[in-house]
This record gives sequence, C-alpha cells and structure tokens, in this order.
Amino acid sequence: MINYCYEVLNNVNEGIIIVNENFDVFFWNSYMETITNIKGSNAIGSNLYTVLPSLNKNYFKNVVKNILNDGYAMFFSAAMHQDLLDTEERFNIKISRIQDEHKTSILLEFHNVTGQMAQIKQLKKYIKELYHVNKELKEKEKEIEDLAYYDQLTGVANRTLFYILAEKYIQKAKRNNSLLGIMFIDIDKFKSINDTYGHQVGDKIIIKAANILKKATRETDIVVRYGGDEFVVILPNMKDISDYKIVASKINNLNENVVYMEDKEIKLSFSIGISIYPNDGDNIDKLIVKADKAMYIAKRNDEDIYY
Amino acid sequence: MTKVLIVDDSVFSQKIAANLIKKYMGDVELSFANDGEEGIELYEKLKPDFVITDLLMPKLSGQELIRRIKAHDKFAEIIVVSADVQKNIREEVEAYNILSFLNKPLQDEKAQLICNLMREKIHG
Amino acid sequence: MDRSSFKYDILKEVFNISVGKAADLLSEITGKKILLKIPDVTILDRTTNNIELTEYLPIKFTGALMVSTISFKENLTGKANLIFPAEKMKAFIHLCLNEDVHEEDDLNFTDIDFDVIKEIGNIILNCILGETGNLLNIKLQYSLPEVKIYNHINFRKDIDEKEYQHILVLYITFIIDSTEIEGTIIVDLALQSLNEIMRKIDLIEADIYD
Repeated sequence: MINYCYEVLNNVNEGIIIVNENFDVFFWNSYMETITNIKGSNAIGSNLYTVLPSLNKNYFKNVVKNILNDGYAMFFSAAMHQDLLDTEERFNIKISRIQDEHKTSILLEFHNVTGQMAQIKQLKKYIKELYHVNKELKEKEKEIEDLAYYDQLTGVANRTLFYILAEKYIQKAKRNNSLLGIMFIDIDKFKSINDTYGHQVGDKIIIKAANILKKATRETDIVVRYGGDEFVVILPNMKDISDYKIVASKINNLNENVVYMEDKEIKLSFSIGISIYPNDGDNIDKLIVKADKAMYIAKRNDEDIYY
Repeated sequence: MTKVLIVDDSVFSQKIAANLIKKYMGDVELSFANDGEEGIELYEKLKPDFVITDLLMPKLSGQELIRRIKAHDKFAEIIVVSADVQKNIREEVEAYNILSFLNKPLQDEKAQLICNLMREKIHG
Repeated sequence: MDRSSFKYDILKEVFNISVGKAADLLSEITGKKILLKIPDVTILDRTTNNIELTEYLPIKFTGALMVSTISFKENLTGKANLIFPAEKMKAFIHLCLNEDVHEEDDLNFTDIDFDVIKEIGNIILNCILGETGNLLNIKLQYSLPEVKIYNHINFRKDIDEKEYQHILVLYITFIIDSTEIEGTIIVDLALQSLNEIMRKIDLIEADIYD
C-alpha cells in the first residue's frame, strides 16, 4: 500500500518533499526531481536546507519550525517569494504538518504557476497598450472636436458652436420663462489698426479682445468669435433687462483695454449692441439681426453701447 | 533598594513584569506608568535606576520616551519589552544604547535575563 | 465585556503581541518596515441586543471588500474573517511586491493578486490565531484561508446570518511606506468557544494575582 501511495505521489502534478522532525528529507517525488534537477536518491537522507540552500532563510526556517510545533499550514505565493527556489519556473509553496501517533513530518508542496504568471504579465501588457491607445484616441477626439467648435486663434467658441448653444439656451429660456441676452460686439477701427500695424498685430488684438470679454463676463456667459473682428456674447442667466449694463460697463472699463505694440499704445474700444429674448425676438436669427443693428447704431453714434 | 519604573499601556503586562521581577530580584521598588507621557513624569520625579518600557503606547511612544530620557541622562539604563519585534525597529531603538531589547510575552527565562543584567549593573 | 476591566486589558494585550508577530513576519518577507497602530478589540453579543454588525466596520469600508476566511473546529468553533477594503488591498499588494503603481491599474484582481492576498491573510490570521492560542493555552486547528471579494452589501447580508452571534472584532492598522492600511478581523464564535476564551482569561487573571 505504501509503495502504491508513493507511486501516486510520483504522478501528481506538484513537487512534493516530505521531511522529518529534524528537517531531513525522506521523500522527494519525480516532479521535484524535474523542478530542481536533483535526484531523489541524492536528496533523501540529507537536510532540507543543505539540499535546497535557497530555502535557508531565517523567516522560512522559523515558519517551518512553528508549523512543526503548532500544526498550522502556511502558504507562500510565488509573487512574494521569488527567491525561495533557484529555478526559472515559479512556484506557490504550501507547507503543512502531518502527524500520527508514531511520527511527525512536514509536507512541502510546490505548485507550478509559471504559465499563469506569464499569462497575467501578457494581459497586463495588453491592458497597458489598450489604455494608452484609448487615451490617445480620446485626446485626438477632443482635438477634432475643438477644431470643429472652437476658434483656433482665441480658443473661444466659434460660429458653429454658437448656433448650437444659442438654440439650446433659447429653448431653456422658453421653458423657464426667463430672459436671454445676446450681445453683438465689434472692435472699433479694427480695419485701420490692421492696415496700420499689420496682420500679426491684428491677431494679437483679436486675442486680447477675446480675453477682455472672457474676463468681463460671468462663468455662465458664453463668448463667441462670430467672424473677423466680431464677437457675440450669450447671457443666459439674466434676471433683469438692465443686467447687460453691468457686463457692458466691465468690457469697456477694464484697464487692459490698451495694447502695447513696439512702443505705441493702441487703445482698444468696443461697440456693443444688445437684443433680448423674448422682447426682441423669439428665435436666434431675429435676435442676431436686432443685436447687429443695435451695434451699428452704437458705432455710428460713437457710443459704447446701444439697446 | 533598586528602583525600577515599568512603562506599559497594558496593566496586564505591567503586572506580569512586576511578578516576574519580584520573583527573580527580591530587593526592588516598582513604579508604574500607563503611557509614555506618564513615563517621563515619573522618571523625572522618581529617578529610577532602571526603566522597563513597551514601545507601542498612546500619547507618547516608547521610542520617544527613550529619546527624551537619554537626552536628559545618557547613562540611563533602559530595557525594552515590546510586542513589535521587527528587525529594523529593533535596530533603531538599540541605536539609543539601551540595556536590552526583548520580545513579549515576558516569561521566566527572559525575566531572569533582565534581572541578571540589572544586578550586573548595580554591582558593576 | 466591560472595556475598563482587567479581562479586557488581557485580551487586548494578547492581540497586541500576536499582531506584532504578524507585522514582524510580513516585514521580513517584504523587506519593508511596518509600523503598527495600537490594535483595538471589541466583543459583541448579538443574542441579547440586535446589533448591526456592519456598524462596527470602519467608515471607510463602503466599497468592495476583500475577505479572507478561516474556519476552525478544534478546540474552538468559529470563523475568522480578515477584511480589507479592496482599494487598500490593491495598495497592500503593490507594496508587498514592490511594484510601481501605473495609471492603467484598476480594481481588478488577477490570480496572482489572489495568491498574494491568500498569503497575507494566512500570515496575519495565522499569527493572530496562533499566538492567541499559545498565550491563552488553547490548541487551535484550521486550514488555509479562502479569499473572496464582496461588495459591502453582500457582506452585510452574509454577516448578518444567524451564525454570527458572539463576535470578537479586532481592529488593526499597518503603515507601510506611509500608506495606512486598516483592516478588521471579525471572529464569529460559538457560545462555548467564547466562554472557553473567557475561562482561559480568568485563569491568567487568577495567576497574576497569586
């Protein structure tokens, strides 16, 4: 019967070592021979720590001693104990005590997890690649979106986005019975500035203008570059018709309305026209036309703003 | 009369230490502190010959207690009896030049060791 | 049990010593310094008052939970559950394996992770149950832990079963590389077993006052 059991142990797919109370090896199965390249005949009779010096570590010896005394089982994962076995292959190790009236021994089982670990490493590599590809794709998506909806020079919304947002906000105002303001703004004497100082300066002015508008407006207001030197501001949360005056005064009073070019001072000023939903129209086209006309009047009268 | 101060947040550990020391060293006067802070106070008040201290305690840790006592008196004799037995912790504490570092639980063998060390120092 | 009683002090100190041993073994295996916070223990008797067990889990345990369970039948009958929040367990694993954390990491646990958790659970529970058994002079027999991930709702259901009437709750905190890892151990005991533990503590108490 004993030999039969040993034969069974020689056929299991795990390395098996059995040692006595002095940690001398008395069983070393075939799989163990394959793992370590040490023949059973050479291992049996010798001390475990002589046959496998890589196991000769303080904590390991203490644990095995405790298992001998107390009978608890211990599990050492391959991942945490890369250095317990001197092999390329990776093993989880389980250690337990076997005891009957006659004798006490320690059973060490070595379970091969090399395949699993390689697989997981491969998986992790794929995940990492996928993650980065995904990240890149998302970034490209955003870039394309930006190109479609945002003005390249100033970073504010462009005309296309304007119509989308304006429609959304008008619907919201309709539902909530609230006011919506549309400001049409252009830069005074932009053409002559552009002609005098050149396109590069002209561009700088446009950028400055956009920044001024952003600063002067609230978080919820939307600044749009509508065309060349024309901007539109959507004012969604107007409580009162006169609210526009606050924004308008901010626009023209910001101390930054001066641009320095070489050593010349170029003063920036804006002409602003307003239209308000629902008073001036119930759709965006009507509102834009009204605001544009108002701006034209303001410009002609050399005023800042006209409503 | 040798004065020994025992610092530990566990009354149980205090009593075990007390019983074992009295067993192996008769002529000794024992005092007790429940945390590092009390430990410092009693140390300054009683000026014991030996301090036996735990490490993990509320308010002030054993390490901090040792540091302060040693800063005050570098020849102070301190013995550590701790549940925390990590090598690096041990090395850190031993750098303060303590008399000995022992792991809990305290039993006869370890208590004898402590008492022998203390006797050596007294008759030193 | 009265938290100011001497018996409570003994129980707390017994756990203190056993947690220290667990930290020591972990520290040697990982090569890292492990700081401990003072462990705390509570005993709950749910036969008289209907206590919500999950109230005794630290607040942070609201997401996925990693639970290692050991059942024992000799000489005490019961189950010990070591619980860590899944996120913290992930951090614990990275620290033990000395791995860097990457941005693509998520909360999925691989087979290797489970093996590591099995080992960590084994070390902690072994040291605690083993050392407690030694100090109280009670021989315990049990096998390696089973590891499962629960979300806290399923865990609450599992834990609120009739089985868990006498409970020991142990709070432990490890600090590794300045990461705080809070764990809770819930030990569900048969009444006789809890009484056996109390009896042993009584013996120790009597011994002290001899």
